[in-house]
Amino acid sequence: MTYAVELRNIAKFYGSHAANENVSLAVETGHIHGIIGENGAGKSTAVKILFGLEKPDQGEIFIFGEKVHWNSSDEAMNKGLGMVHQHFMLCENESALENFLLMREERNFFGMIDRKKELQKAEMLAKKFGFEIPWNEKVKNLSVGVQQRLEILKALSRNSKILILDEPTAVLTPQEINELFAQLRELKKQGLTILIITHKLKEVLSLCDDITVFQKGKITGEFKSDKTNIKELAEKMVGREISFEKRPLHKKNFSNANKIELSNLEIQNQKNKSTLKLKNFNVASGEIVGLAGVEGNGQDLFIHFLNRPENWSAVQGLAKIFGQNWLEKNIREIQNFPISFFPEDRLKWGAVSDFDLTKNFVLGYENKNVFQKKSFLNIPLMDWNLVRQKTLDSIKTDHIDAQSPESPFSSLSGGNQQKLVVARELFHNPQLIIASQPTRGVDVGAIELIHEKLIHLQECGASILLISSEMDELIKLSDRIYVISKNEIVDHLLRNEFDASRIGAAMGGAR
Amino acid sequence: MIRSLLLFITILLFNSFSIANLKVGLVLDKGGKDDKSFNSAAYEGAQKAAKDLKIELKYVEATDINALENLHRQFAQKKYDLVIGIGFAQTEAIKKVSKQFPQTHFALVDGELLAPNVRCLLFEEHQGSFLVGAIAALKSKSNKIGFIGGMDIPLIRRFSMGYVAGVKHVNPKAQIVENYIGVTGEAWTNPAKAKELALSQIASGVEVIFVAAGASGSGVFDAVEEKKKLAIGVDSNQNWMRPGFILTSMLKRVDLAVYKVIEDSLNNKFTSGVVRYGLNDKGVDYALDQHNDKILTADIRSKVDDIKKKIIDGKIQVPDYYKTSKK
Amino acid sequence: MKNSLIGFFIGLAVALSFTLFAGENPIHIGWILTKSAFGSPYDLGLTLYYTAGLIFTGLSVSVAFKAGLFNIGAEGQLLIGSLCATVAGLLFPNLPFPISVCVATLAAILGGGLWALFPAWLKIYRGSHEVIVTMMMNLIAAGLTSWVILKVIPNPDSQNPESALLSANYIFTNDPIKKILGDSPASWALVIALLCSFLVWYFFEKTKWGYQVQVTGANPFAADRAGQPTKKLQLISFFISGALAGGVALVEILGNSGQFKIGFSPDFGFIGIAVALMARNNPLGLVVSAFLMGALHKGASDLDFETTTITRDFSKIIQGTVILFISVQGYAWFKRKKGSK
Repeated sequence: MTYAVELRNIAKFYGSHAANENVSLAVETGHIHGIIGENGAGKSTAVKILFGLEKPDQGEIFIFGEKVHWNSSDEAMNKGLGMVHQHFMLCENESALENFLLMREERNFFGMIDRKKELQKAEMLAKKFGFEIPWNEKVKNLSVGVQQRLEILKALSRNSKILILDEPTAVLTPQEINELFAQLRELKKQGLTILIITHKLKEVLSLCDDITVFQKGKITGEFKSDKTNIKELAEKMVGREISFEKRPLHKKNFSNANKIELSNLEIQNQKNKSTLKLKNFNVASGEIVGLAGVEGNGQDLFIHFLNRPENWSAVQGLAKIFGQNWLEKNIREIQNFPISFFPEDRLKWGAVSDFDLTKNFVLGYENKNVFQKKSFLNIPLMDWNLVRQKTLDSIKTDHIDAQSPESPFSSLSGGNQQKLVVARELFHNPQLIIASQPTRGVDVGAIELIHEKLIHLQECGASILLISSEMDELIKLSDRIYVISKNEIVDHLLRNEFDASRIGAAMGGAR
Repeated sequence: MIRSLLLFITILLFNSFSIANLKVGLVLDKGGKDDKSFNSAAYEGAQKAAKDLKIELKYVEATDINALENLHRQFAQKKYDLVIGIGFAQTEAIKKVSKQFPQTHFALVDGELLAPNVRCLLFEEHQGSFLVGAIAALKSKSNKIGFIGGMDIPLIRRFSMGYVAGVKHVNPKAQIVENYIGVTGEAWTNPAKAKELALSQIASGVEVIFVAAGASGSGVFDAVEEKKKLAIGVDSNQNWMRPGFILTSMLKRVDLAVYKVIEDSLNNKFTSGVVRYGLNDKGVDYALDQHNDKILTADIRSKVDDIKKKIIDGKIQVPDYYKTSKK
Repeated sequence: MKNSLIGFFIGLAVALSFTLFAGENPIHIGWILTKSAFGSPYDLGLTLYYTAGLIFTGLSVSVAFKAGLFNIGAEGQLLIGSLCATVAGLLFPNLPFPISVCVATLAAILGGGLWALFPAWLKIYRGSHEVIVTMMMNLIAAGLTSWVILKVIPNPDSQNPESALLSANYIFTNDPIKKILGDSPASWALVIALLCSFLVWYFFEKTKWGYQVQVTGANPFAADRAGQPTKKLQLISFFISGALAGGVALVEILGNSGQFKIGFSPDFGFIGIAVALMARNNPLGLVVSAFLMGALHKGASDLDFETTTITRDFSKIIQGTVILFISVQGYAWFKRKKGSK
């Protein structure tokens, strides 16, 4: 039998680091093949090599039994490969059709494009695969799901036989994920071979025929999906056993005082006039409260309000945090409250990648007296020796894989970066933690550690607001879940009501 | 490597001893020897002296004000007999260095300084400017006459004041459009800006433009050629640069003065003090050659020569910016 | 720092090899340059004069850079600083010696700082690009100083485009540095320049504010989330940047000529950018790079003197080539920094 794709003994080195080593992978024609692994496990590298974006240091590539040698991804496309990247490659201000034509425009021999004809072709292609796309609408007005469909069509437009999808579900609501999977199965029926990269185990199991697991640049397991289970896959991915149990609910009775208590609140940003309807929202002591929602539906505004209330005013209602009127506070005063934030995007909001670990360990806490020495003129001097010591302590206790506190932050892997940020945020014993996407782009080991830390804090009586777009994480950790959609809290579920489809529907805007 | 270095030094030393002639150092202003104007004139005078009088000549161009003193000192240390500084900016440097090297002779163009071993070469630019002002007024059919200066400094004001007086002497109703190219030293080397100014002056009805702006002047010449108007050059004889479009040039014979001081030094006739060059000794004048004798008509020439005579005789008093600006 | 000098020396080597085309021996040229920098106390003094000026402008550029801003306007700020020092000196001719210098220094700092504040304000609150604005303000500064010097406070005893002389109270008569260095333009201002580079280093490495400024410059989003007053920090940094550029007034007005001579600056402000780049904005390393650039600038006029073919224009090629190589290396460094994000 000839395979659609075959990689033989692929190796790729970055300096002394092996991103891929001895990778041999065979994808059967007409199958959906899942590639899973933690961040940095080498699955993206392998796919980039397959698609001609990277050159392998060793090894061979076969497409439908024919040995190939790419100099660019263009050559790969000509051989019938198409790829949908995790971050869409679309021009926001152009119509769907224009974006679609981008793929073909370079190829056009006569320099002119017959738009009518092209539109017909596009519609034909869409019809063939059962996609519906409003061709004349601008891309920025399309929903994420439709944008993704457009990307898939672009990838297929050159008579592709093999479709590669990189983390396709990261930006979708559960409903959209279901639709996507249905469409992918349809494509499979029409004879396409599909490679899908993901770190979500449930999804691979439900969608794929075959599964390849990567760990630390090597392949550690190959399975037929009907002959394996989540536990086995996860162990192959991480190299040890992991718990996937729902967190036991130790509901201890703390003072029951609400750390966050918003009543009928609607707020408006004084600068850009965006509004946020938070309604009745509370987080009590010893409670993990989840906030579910597709990204960009107001979570960032909520965080901004908690962090910078001076920029917001109430349209109606009251906001009490730690029992105080939050809208009267400013950032300086807030820094005196035991509140800390896990940034949703650590490299943008939570760290300086050029700085070393020591200097990142004080970020946001440089005003705290513990880290300062007083000099004779009352000039606040940083006590760098102390900060360095504390950083070193955290590196040891949290098993952060770093050479020294002087290593640049950017030299750490995503998981270790996040562990350092979490260690920093928890160093000052916060009572209220706003954990925004705490495990994004993080390996399973770090996820476990961060989850354990959050649960431990909750058991000690701290309040945690968990903002996440990972349904599994929310359901696993939360006592209650609020759902946000279009800058408005649209649903509230108690633990016994947790239901992925109800949450998904609410995230998508349905009441 | 050290040996080769030593060899170099010995060669250098031998070079300096092998010729026993008079050694003359020339320190040019920021504008440099190719400004086709003030520094060019000084350079030509010195070159001519080197050829005719068989002296040894070395010239350098200054990078900035603070380098000047260094250059003068270097010349003096190397036992040059005469060091000539071109431009007012060198006054301080010569003042300091001449004191430290009383055996060395110095000459300073455009600067005034009293020292026993320094000769100052000054020019009555206002008189020459008066003459070309008169020529401009005689030639121009419109009542608007243009002046473009390099940087707005006292020296250029001296040009413009004499020029304005000359224009008004012929045509009291004439209006003078006066522009300056810039506020930094770059004004002397910015022909593009000069051309722009000239074009806008021409657009407003100006027919003759006197430009006193060093190397920037060529921009004005481009403009008048393009628009078929006339320009007046400065310092050197610039008539040849755009024959037929340069009415005349206000000559400031720096070359003569430089040549003279070299000659005097060679013949042991060097004297210190201030030497003024004016109309009477042709230190300043207007230029007449084959390039402009058609446009500068005999009629105009005779009128101008008459004015020149009156100035030399003291019948016309040309206002001097240096005297009016000092309270 | 060690690595960052590679660009300088490669550039110098390439530039020197250019002199082969002019029929010179590059080794000989290198020797002249060295001699020019160290040959005599006076030569060293002139080199150190340039060094001091370049330390100030180099610091100016690097302080702004650390705050995430690009100060092309050091040239204008040093002119205004020098103008203010001169004006202050002429307004109060009778102040006794050390006080007089302090007053003039203060005027220079305020002048340079305030001149920088305006483009910073435009950048931070109005979004105009500071590179464009500071560059344009260099021209305004040149025009303004020329006008004030020539029309308001000209030197009545000279036709030179320069200001009147400051009174003797403003001149440090027994300046030991001047004495050691053969009465050259170098002065006590060199000590101040060195002190400033130490202070700037101390500020960034040790103080909380220095830390905050660096965070603001390296990642304004994180600084904002961390509650740092990013706008205020940037504004203050740019003020300090301008004030440091104004420090050139000490080098030239108070330490050297005792008056404002139009055109005194051999583009300190622009060479300062190369100096800062070569030192990777390290305030201490900057002293070395300022000295190297100062020596190169000093050597340029001596090359003209010592050789027949290396004219002033040729030495500009040498300087330009060196700056080009520094920039290429600096750019690579900058890209690496960006790329690692």
